[in-house]
This record gives sequence, C-alpha cells and structure tokens, in this order.
Amino acid sequence: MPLLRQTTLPSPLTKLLFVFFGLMLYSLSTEAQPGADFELAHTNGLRVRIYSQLNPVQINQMHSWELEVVNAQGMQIDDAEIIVVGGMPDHDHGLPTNPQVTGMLPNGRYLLEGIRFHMPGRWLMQFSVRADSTLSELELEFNL
Amino acid sequence: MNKIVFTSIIVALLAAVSIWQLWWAPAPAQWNSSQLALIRSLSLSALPPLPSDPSNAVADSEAAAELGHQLFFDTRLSDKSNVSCATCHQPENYFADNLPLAVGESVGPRHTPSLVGLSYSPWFYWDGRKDSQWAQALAPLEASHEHNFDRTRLARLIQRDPVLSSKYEAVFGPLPEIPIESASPVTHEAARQAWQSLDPTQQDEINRVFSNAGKALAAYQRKLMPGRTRFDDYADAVQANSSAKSDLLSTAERSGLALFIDKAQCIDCHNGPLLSNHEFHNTGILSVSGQLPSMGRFDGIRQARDDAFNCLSPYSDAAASQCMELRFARDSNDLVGAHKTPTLRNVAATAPYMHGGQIATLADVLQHYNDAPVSMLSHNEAKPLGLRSAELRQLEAFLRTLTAPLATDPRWLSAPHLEE
Repeated sequence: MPLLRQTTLPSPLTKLLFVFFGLMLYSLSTEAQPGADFELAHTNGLRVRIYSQLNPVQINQMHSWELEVVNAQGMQIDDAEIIVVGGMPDHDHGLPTNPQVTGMLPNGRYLLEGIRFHMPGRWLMQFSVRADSTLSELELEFNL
Repeated sequence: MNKIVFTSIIVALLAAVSIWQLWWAPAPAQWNSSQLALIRSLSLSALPPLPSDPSNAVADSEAAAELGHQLFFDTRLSDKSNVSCATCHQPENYFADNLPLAVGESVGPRHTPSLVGLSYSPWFYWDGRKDSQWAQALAPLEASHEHNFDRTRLARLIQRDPVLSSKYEAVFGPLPEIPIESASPVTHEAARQAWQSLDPTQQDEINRVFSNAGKALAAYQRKLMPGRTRFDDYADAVQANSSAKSDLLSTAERSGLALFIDKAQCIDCHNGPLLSNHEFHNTGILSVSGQLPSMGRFDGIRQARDDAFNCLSPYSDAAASQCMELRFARDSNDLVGAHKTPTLRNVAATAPYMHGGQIATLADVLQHYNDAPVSMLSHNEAKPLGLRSAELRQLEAFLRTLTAPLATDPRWLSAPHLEE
C-alpha cells in the first residue's frame, strides 16, 4: 500500500497513464494462464498439465479436471485420446469413480469429469495419452 | 531347581505380555498442525450445508416434508397395515432398530442403517443400488419382507385419504385416476399380471405418484440431522488452543482420538464430519448366517444403472448432466464384497453393526479391524493393525463420545398429529 501513496497530486495526463497501465495489468492478469496444479512430462517430450476445478483438491467431492496436452515443441494437442485411471496402491483399490474425458473446452483443454477421492492418503493416477499414433503413459502420485 | 527357573521365566514373560497389552497409550499433550487439521475435518462445525438433490425438485419443500412425515409413520403403507418406515427406522434409536436384521412383514436380509445425516450420501443401501434417497424410499414399500405393499395400492391410498390427497396435490398437482386396486411390475404374480393389463400411460401415472411419494419421504428424511457431540465441542475448542488437555474429553478418549486419526486408520474411510466417506469397502466381514456372501457394490452399481427410478430415469427431475455420480460410477472387480461405510455418528447407540448386523458390540468391531481377517470374497482392503487391548479400549472410549440427540426439530421425531 505505501507504494501507491502519492506525495503530490498527479497531473491529468499522469492519471490517464495510471488508468491505461492499470487496465493493461488487469487485462494481463485475467488472460494469463494460472499455474497448473500438476504437470507431468514424458521422456518423449509430451506434457500433460492438470488444472483442477476444485481448489484445493479434497476428499469426498465430485469434481472435474482440465487437461492440457502439449507436444515436445510446446504446441497444444487437441485430438489426443486420453484414458485416466487411479487408485490407492496401499489399499489395493481404485477410485470410487470412473473419470472420463467428455469434451474440449474453448481454451483447448480436455474436460475430465467424474473425479472423486474418498480417502486421505497416497493416490496414484495413470494417464494414457494417444497422440500422433504414439501412446504415452504418465503417472501422477500425490497425497491427500 | 531348573523347574523353578523355568516357571519363573514363563511367569515373567506372561506378566510382561499382560502389562504390554494393558499399558495405555499416552494421550497427546499437544496436537500438531496436521492432527489439528484432521480433528477439524471431523467436527460437525465442518459439515457443509445439505447439498441439493437435482433429481428431486421438492427435496427442500416444507410441504413435501410434511407429506413425507405423514407417510413415514403411516402403517397403512403395508399389506397388513402393521409396518411403516418407522417400524425399522425408529426415531428413539437414531432411526435404526437395534436388531441384527430388519423385521418388517418378515425378517429381511440386511441390517437397518441409521437415517441420520444420510441425505449427504450419493448412494443408498449397503450395496449402493439406489442413487437417490427418494428412489431408495420406494423399494421397501414393495419388498415382500418389508411393507409388502405396491405402488398402485399406495396411489389408491393417497387418493382416498382426504388429508394425504390434499397434501399430495398441494405439492405435486392433481392426482390421476387409478383404475385398479393393486398392480406392480416387481411384486407377486397377480400384481405383475395386473400391471401388464394397464396401458403405458396408466403405468406412467402410477409410477409418477409412486416416485412423488418417494420424493416426499426424502424431503422428510433430509430433516434428520446429527446433533453436536462432546467430540465436536472438543474439536472446536482445541483449534484455538492446541493443548490437547480439556475437560471435554477424558485421557482415554483423547488417546482414542489420536489412534482414530493415525495408527488405527479409522479415518481412512470414516472421514469428514459425518465420519463416513459414503463409499464401498470390503473389510472381510463374514457373510450373514444362512446367506451366501454378498457381492456388495459390484452388484449394487449394476442395479443402480438398471433402476427404473434412477437419476437418468423419466421420474428424475435432474438433467442428465447433473447425474454425475451415476454417470461416472466405477464398477470394477475390486468392488466385489464391498459394502457402504456407515456413519459413526451415534455409533454407540446403534448396535449391532455391519450390513448384516453380524457384529454385536463395538469392542468386537474393533477387534475385527485389528485382526483384518481374510475376506470370503475378493480381498480385505484393511490390514491388521497390531493395536494392544488397552488401545482398543481407548478407541472404543473415543467412539462413545460421538453420540448426541439429533439436531432436528422434535416435531419431526414422532408421528404427526392428525389435525396437522
């Protein structure tokens, strides 16, 4: 807050510049991609960025994830086939749900619906991504 | 001489084992931040508002709850006019019945679960074969061992009773003409034949009244909420002051809480403010005497998908996109023998336990989880805990802090007065 304090009244031109730069900053902040919740990288260069629609991810709540798939060159892939399974290796059981990619979002991400975790502990999610005739298997391990 | 030494060693060993078994685990002096977070997650203060049920447009209607209240206690909704929902779901017993197996018109195959807080669950029945509380409410009415009634008889009863019909029409609009006395596609042979004699429009109209009655019963059951317990008061009190000591819980109860959230792994499934994840687990429970082992959720999810009154059915008020649980439910082999995690709210007052009431006491339940026996079907997800007998008693002491009168207006806890 002290940084915004002015010692002298700004001129009308300065005010206009403040408003202009303020609008630019606002615009950048709303268009900028928020950081992915998780990012997975395959040795072949393929990356999957995961954005949870539930933040923070917590147990017992049905929610969706958005998946961004990019190739080694950093270009979004929008025709991948994605299968996701998950479970708790320490308990020998899977997710209570069967998540599925149900469509594409305007931002080029895949919508993965039907995610619900029902226990705290170590979870392992496996992503099978078929893109450009190549099958890439990626794993996400995390604790809830 | 050797005999004396040998005997002394044996006695000393037995004494050591006994002391070790009976030595109480110390109660923590202070909770760390992760323990505090877990304790907070179990408190009733963390319970979110009751989620809406998109499949039931009258889920939160007071008028529907009034109708459901009357139906819930009405024994006329049974073949011999001797069974109501409250026959097994008894208000004085936390809407359970303290029997191993439910007894309606005859003895049923499953233990009566408590209805308290159940409206938070996405699945109903021990095997999750219903995906809404209103769809669940329909099945006992037509089950031969429960009400042994049928949907057409129910529609006729509502139509002929001036109080019921008035309450029904105030919520759902005009009742249709019901052309026959008794008919159902799922009960006895004569009723099934009568059902076949109806045209599809008549069948649909009866199904509509039937499903609406279920929706009213669900609206009523949404009133049945758990009350604050000593544990909840303790859980809230320690958030401000992480010192674990408090007059609210005894040393043994606090030790039991520490075990519950850590070594005993209870919180794995009994999590959240209702102490249930509402999901399905195989924990190696023996089958009910005289019954084959239950396939549990493996069969339950298939039945839910085929249910004529599920979220995707014409009798649901939800759009298909809102039926998330049904659309994305898992049905793999690891669900063989899996049954629903019950709430632990009021657990000390709702014995016996498990889907068939197989285990009589809390102490025996805890011993079962400590042993984690091999499952008769598929595999037991739980692993042996290695808890000492003193720790099991501490855990039981904690479980006994989870009982309290319901946080429900008392007028919902007994049959409505006729003049209502």
